[in-house]
Amino acid sequence: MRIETLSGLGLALVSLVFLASCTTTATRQERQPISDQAAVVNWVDSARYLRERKQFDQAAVKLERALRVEPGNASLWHELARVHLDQGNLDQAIQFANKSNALTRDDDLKTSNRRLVNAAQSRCISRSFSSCRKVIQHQYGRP
Amino acid sequence: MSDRMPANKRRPRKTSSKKKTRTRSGSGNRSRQASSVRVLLTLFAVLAFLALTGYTVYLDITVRGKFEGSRWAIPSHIYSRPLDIFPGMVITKAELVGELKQLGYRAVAQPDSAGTFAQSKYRVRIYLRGFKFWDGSSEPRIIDLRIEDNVVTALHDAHGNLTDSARLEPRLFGSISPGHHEDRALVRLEDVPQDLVHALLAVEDRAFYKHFGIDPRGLARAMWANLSAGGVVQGGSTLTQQLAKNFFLTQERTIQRKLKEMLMALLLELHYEKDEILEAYLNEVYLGQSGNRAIHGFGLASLFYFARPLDELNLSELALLTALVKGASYYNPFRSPERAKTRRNHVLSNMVELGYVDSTTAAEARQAPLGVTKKGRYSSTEHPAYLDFVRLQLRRDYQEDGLRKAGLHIITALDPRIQGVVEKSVGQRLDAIEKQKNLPKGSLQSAVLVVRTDNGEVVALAGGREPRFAGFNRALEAERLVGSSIKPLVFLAALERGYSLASMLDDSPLVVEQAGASVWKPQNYDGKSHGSVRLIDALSYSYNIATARLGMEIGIDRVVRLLRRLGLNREVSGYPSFSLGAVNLTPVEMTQMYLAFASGGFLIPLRTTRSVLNQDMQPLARYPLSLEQVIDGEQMTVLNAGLQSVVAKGTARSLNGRFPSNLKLAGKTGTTNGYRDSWFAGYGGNFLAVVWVGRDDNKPTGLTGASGAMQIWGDIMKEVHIQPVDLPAPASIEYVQIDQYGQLATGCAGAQTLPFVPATIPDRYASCASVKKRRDKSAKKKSWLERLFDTNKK
Repeated sequence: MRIETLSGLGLALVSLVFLASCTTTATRQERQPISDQAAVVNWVDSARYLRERKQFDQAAVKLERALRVEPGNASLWHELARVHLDQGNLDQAIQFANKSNALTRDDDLKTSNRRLVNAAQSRCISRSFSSCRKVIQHQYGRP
Repeated sequence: MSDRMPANKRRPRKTSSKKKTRTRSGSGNRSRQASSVRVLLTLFAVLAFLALTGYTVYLDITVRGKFEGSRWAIPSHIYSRPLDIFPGMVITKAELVGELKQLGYRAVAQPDSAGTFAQSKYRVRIYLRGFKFWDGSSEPRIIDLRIEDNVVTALHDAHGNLTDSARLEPRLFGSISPGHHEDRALVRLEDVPQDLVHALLAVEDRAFYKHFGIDPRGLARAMWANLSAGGVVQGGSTLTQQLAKNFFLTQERTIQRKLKEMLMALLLELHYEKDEILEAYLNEVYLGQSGNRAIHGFGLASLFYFARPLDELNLSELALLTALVKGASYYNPFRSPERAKTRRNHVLSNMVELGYVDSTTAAEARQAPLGVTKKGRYSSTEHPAYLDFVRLQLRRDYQEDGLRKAGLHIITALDPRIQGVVEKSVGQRLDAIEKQKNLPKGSLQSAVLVVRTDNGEVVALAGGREPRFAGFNRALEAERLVGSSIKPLVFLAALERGYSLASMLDDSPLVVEQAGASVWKPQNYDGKSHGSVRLIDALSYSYNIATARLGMEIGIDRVVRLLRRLGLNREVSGYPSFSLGAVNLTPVEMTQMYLAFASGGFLIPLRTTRSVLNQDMQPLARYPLSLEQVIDGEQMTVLNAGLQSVVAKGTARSLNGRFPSNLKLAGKTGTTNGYRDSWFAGYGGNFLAVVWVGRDDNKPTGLTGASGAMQIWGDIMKEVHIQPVDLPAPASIEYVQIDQYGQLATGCAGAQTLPFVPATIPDRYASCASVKKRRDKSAKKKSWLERLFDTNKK
């Protein structure tokens, strides 16, 4: 095969990959809302706002309220895991991520949960808390 | 002629010295006596003054100590869950209206004040009250909902704008009171309706803002009125005196006590403003009795008599409360409505006399009915069994003394509607069973817990068939043999050891010789042995022999360790009979165990309390959701299928006549030897309920789990909008068709599709199994990339 042809194919391949990633990014940006229920969306937005301001208890209350409405919503459990992670409740962060995984088949969400669990375990190791032994011993919820 | 000289010429006779002395000392003595008396009197006066001063100082310290310290031991008040309302919510209009009425909302044509609502065929318009929740305060506001086909289809605000949610305030249903059984709900003077203050001053103390604690004119007026009437028709005590009496003194009618009361009243007025004294009075005055609970203060009296807060009462209702001040028992509106009405009208007349209301308004108020609820609401014994559990859990964090006196506001997860369903179901069903089985009336007892499967919140609890009974709480305290309801634990332990639903178990006769104990020969309930049976059938039909043998193969210690993992710390024996339920558990322990199944394999501690606020409704503590995965997702999926099979075709199959099969309900019956205990633990997607039925004297009832406890379970679950069980299976789970012999039976008639952990899929095939669809375990499915580079491809 001539070099020019190979180069052209290689360029085409690179372009395709680039376009695919853009599409994927666009798809991520157009991701489905966390819920069809306006109340749940509102509570999640409030929880995120509160979490950024380190008002973790209040954030958790909003999410627990949302979970009473949609207990099967794996994203809500993930949000709760994030609150606990930021709050430093590493054990519970992992457990809520496990719960989220038990309820979803969404690979992206599973990946997010996996990252969260890794983050929790890393923080545990770096801080050397005695309670971290339990955190590290947790099996990450199997897909 | 006498030799005596005339008297007038006589020289004064010289008396003897003694006599002279006596005369002189007599007058001296008198004067000395007089001065001694004066000294004594002075001394006495000084001592009396000192004593009075000392006593006054003592009273002063007492008065100020009470006023400036914590004036009352305020009970902690217990609330139900607040109700979130949102579009898409499943609720009937009747249920919503029931919630409103329980909260004391009044039905009106047009809601124009907080605590009112209006309804039409599809609409409910509510003027919500405000409340300080943990996550923020909500102000009073109007919402408008539309309910169609038992779903809230739209929610608007007062201006017609769509709104995403609203929240009904929680209902006060109980209290944890101090030992002296006083209860009150504090109010601030600025929040008290003016009409109430006017009514009180009109009848009890017209010169309140003018006198100095004692009203001499009032005393005189009362004395005159009483003399004229020939009896006591008017009291002369001021509000300050009444407060002093209630705060510090007894009810005895002695001069000594009266003087003390006056002195204390003077001291109160010396130190405190009129408004402070009035506010204290409004919260102290005795206004009724609820069992052994004394209702103190207008705040609580309003809830007790009218089931509404003070600021929602009208003139005639406020006048009635004021009428009770003179004698809450004598003027009890429940027992003596006519007398109460007369006294109420007397209060209104006084208000007119003083110009607080005009005669027309008063006349209208006099015509109004008393308006009290059927019997006292907010009885602190409304749900004593649930309250027991709340206290048990709070004792982990609070001293009993603190609970009784600190005026906490405790928001629980109690769902009043479901609690009502539970209480009704238990009472009616037990009556029916006793009649049907010719059992002595009242002989059967029950305990029930209803729990949310996602977060472990206990929404309802019954400790016995008498909902108001505040004694032995069977849900928390009755340790009963559990029988077959323990079996899922044995099967789960087996699944964790590599068994599957298709594993063949031996249900042939079993004889177990135990060291130091008699020979054990477990029997099936039908008296038969069934030979080789599938694990799923042994679970569904609750075969004792197969289960006992399985338990011994797995190891009882392994099963006991599993019990610990599911949150139970009870000491149990390691005998083989444990696998058939030779263990005592309380209903709450059984619920904790089954919640791990219903939640999809997570240990979630049971919770009654959501949050605690302090006396000023500021957040104090929260009981957050927490959980721990204790059962692997794969094994949980398999076990869940087994428990669903119990309902689909096993010992709980009669539920299929009451519930549609698409709910995929799961559960397990339990019956103990001699039919002494009847258990059923079952769940849908949103609720788990555990029911026990038996006799306190442990005599046989003749009831199995299905004919006893499960009937109550069904009655309850019919009313709670039960949702389908929806526990997603892990992607690794494979669904395979199996025949009755535990063989792969793809395409065979009568084959049953069951979930399997891949490594446990049977490797024997039924003869009818379709060759084309046989699963080749050795052929691993290749990815597209592997197939692209597969050099072995043919």
